[in-house]
Amino acid sequence: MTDRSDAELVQLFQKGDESSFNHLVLRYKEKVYWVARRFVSDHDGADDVTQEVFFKAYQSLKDFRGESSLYTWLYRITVNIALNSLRKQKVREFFRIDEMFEIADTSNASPDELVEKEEERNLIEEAISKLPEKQKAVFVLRYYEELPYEDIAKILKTSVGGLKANYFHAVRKIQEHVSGAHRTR
Amino acid sequence: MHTEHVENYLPDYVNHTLEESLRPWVERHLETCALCQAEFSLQRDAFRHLEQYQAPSPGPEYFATVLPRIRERLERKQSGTILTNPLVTRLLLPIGAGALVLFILFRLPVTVQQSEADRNPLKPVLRGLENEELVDVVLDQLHRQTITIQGESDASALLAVPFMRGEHLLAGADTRSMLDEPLLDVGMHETLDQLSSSETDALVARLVERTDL
Repeated sequence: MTDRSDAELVQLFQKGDESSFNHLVLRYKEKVYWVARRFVSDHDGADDVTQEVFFKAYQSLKDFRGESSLYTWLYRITVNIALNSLRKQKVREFFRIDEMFEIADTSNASPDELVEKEEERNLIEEAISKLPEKQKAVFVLRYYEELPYEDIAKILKTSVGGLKANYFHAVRKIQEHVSGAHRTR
Repeated sequence: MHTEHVENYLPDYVNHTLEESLRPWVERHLETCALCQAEFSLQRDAFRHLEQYQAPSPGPEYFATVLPRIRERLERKQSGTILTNPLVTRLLLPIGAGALVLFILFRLPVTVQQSEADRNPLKPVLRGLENEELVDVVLDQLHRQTITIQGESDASALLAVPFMRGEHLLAGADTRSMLDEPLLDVGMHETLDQLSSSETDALVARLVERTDL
């Protein structure tokens, strides 16, 4: 089953084979999680988005016509749910549990280095979180997911034309935010 | 080539994701354009930062939980239990609980009052009597009673007034003031059954009080 293509798994699911959905989840869970994580910054939020994406995918997969590839379709769901989550996040505080993973993270770094690394990471996450929605989506999909512009255009339902400019401005703003923070230290 | 056109290619150039065929063209432009060189430095610094500080992974233990939790949620949904419906749990249940509390708060004391009042032997007698019959009941107490009737449309009650006031008032000054108080503001009620609980209770209380006189 694991060597079947996405299209085959979808077809099997549409014929009533529930286990094919499990294979799709196993295939895409990490990709979906990481896209979500780039958007919402914290693990809990990313986990919520991941759960929601597959829940929604399950409900909609019966109507999936294969007009786009499955991963494009899944990315689109992920981006939409992540952006919705971010909008909600603006009106409530999220409890961040990133620290839980910081401890396991890393090697032989000294406490000072760990603190500095954590600060830098937070700075970057902060910079990404401040990007306009479209720039953020383009940046996450292009930089972290390394998707071709054509696929990003399909996911975001936009033309390829402005995506490169969006990407350029997103990277520029991230660097300006980081540099600005360094100057004020 | 205009600077704007080149800068949009810089992120992919720096990040080594630009098509190979375009790289020489960007490099040639960078040699001659100071603005694009500045942008190139900025983009290069940004990607260095991004590469250096990646978010830590939650690890395989976390990813192993994703599918079981999705399946659990789907099974809950498919079981169709009403309590798993977010509309029910987030909206209807709290409203229902609130309504129950309000019902208990407002209904329970009334029930207690009624049960206490039901113990009064006069109440069953008074229930169901016409207003005119009530007059007889009152006069049968062997004490002078007065009753104030409100509502001029109640003809039978109006007829009772002069009879009660003129012939049956007590002469004693001490009791007159008390007896002059209305036995009951009957209002527009046709029968005692139409009296509210509080009105019935008030009537019973006054009858008992005046019987003691």
